Amino acid sequence: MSSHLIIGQYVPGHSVIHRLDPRAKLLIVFVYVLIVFWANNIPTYALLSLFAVVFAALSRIPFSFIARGLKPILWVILFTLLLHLFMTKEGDVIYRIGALSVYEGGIKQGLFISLRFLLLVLMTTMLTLTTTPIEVTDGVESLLGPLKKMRVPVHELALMMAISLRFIPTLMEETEKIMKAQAARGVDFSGGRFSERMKAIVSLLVPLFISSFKRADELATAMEARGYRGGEGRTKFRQLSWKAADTAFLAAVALLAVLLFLLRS
Amino acid sequence: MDIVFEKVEHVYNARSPLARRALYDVNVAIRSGAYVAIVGHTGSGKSTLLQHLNGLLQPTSGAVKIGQETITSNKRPKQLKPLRKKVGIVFQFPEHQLFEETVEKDICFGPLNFGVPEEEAKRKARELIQLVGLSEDVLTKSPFDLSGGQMRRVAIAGVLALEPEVLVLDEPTAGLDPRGRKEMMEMFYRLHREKQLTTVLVTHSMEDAARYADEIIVMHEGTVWGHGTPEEMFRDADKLAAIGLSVPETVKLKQQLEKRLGVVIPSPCLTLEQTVEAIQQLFAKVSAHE
Repeated sequence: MSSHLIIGQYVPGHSVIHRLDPRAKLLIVFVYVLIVFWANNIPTYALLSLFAVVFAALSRIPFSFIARGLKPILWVILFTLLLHLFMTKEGDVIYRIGALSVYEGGIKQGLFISLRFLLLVLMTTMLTLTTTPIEVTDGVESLLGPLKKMRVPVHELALMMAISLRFIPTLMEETEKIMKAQAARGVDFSGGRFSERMKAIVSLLVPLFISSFKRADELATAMEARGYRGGEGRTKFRQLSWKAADTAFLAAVALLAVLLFLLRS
Repeated sequence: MDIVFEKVEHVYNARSPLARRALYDVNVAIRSGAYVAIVGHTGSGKSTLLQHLNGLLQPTSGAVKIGQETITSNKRPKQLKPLRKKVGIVFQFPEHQLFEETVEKDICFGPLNFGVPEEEAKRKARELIQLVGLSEDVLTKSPFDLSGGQMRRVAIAGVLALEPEVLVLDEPTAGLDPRGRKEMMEMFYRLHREKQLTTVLVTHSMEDAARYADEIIVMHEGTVWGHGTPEEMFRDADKLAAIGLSVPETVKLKQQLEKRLGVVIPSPCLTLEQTVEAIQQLFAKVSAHE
């Protein structure tokens, strides 16, 4: 089940994209996600797609792997496409099935929106595929740095993020273990009546919550034992370094934004 | 119930880039009523093997025969439920599976899942709580108010409540103090004899394997490396050392004594008592000579 979902997975590599500063990647994706909504005609969508495809190609992650990861969202895209196909009433009627009629505008709108969705998911997936969670966290912390002056607990937020990401695999492992232990006591997680299913879920969630609280407590103690006192005056083990390539990529996104702004109708 | 593994192979995440073979070519038989210890280094496939015993995992190829039941890769998971009643598994740190409001409810949880009437389940809970060495007034308490060792006993009672014919124990004493370990191992041994169980113990403790098991299965890198009586398995300390395992301290002592003194000690020295006796006999022999 989990092997199909690649969103949030990291694929190790040494491509240009992998080596970009996480801050640059975050900014690129952030800007991209915003300007995707500017696109409204063929040239603008073509430009956006070109950028995303080049970005993906540069990461040297096998295209088939990315495609497989995008499969689960294909249904959502298909649904969006159909919805637009039948609901938009613009332009000429092209096809008629009973009471439903497909308009030219509907086809265009449907395709555009689906493409927009696909591009959004593709670019955000590229971010997590080429950046380790810890790099993302460092990047976020550094980018939000200025907010510290406004008393926003940036370091603490970043730490929370890092810890949550770190414990996702642990939690999944734990879930599997408890499911197996309860299955050995006759719990059927795959079927049964509603009340039985609820009971099954309770028998999983209660132990999971308890162990999570316990683990959080132990982690806090372990951190304090090693002298953790929060962000004040704390230096970093992993230093982020902004390179020429980062500036170049950011410039490329800026250029993309300008072009998009000029070409949109 | 006899358990037979025939050419069992298990691959995690089969047909994906993350595929990992955890077991291969496992051919082993566990006869009904035996106390079998499975030993092996971390990652040798012990836990994977154990989960085949009640169909939590199904072999990728090969077959596992448990009593009348045969489990192969194409068995539907639904058909495996009755098997889970016959084979009870006490997982590592079983106290992590407790979730009910009271100890009594938690012990009854398993039997109720298998359709045992509530009255009968409660009666069983009262019987079992004493069997695992706790007093009856624990039944009304929340399992989370108990100490770690007590929680473990409650969890074990929850598995025993299924009245399994085969009891599988995955390092049941991990994290207990020496006295707790001994008490618990003695309890399982007593159960094994009194209820005529087939017991499968996965352990890192060679001492426990030597003391309680009729047979030992040694796992190494995903397959069965050796299978025999404790005496047979512990005969060659060097060969075991090569796969990261050791022989019990008492066997080590016996082998050292034999080497240093150039004598043969007939006893297998699997337990402390046997060893003491063997050494006394050795002394007696020496003093008789003089």
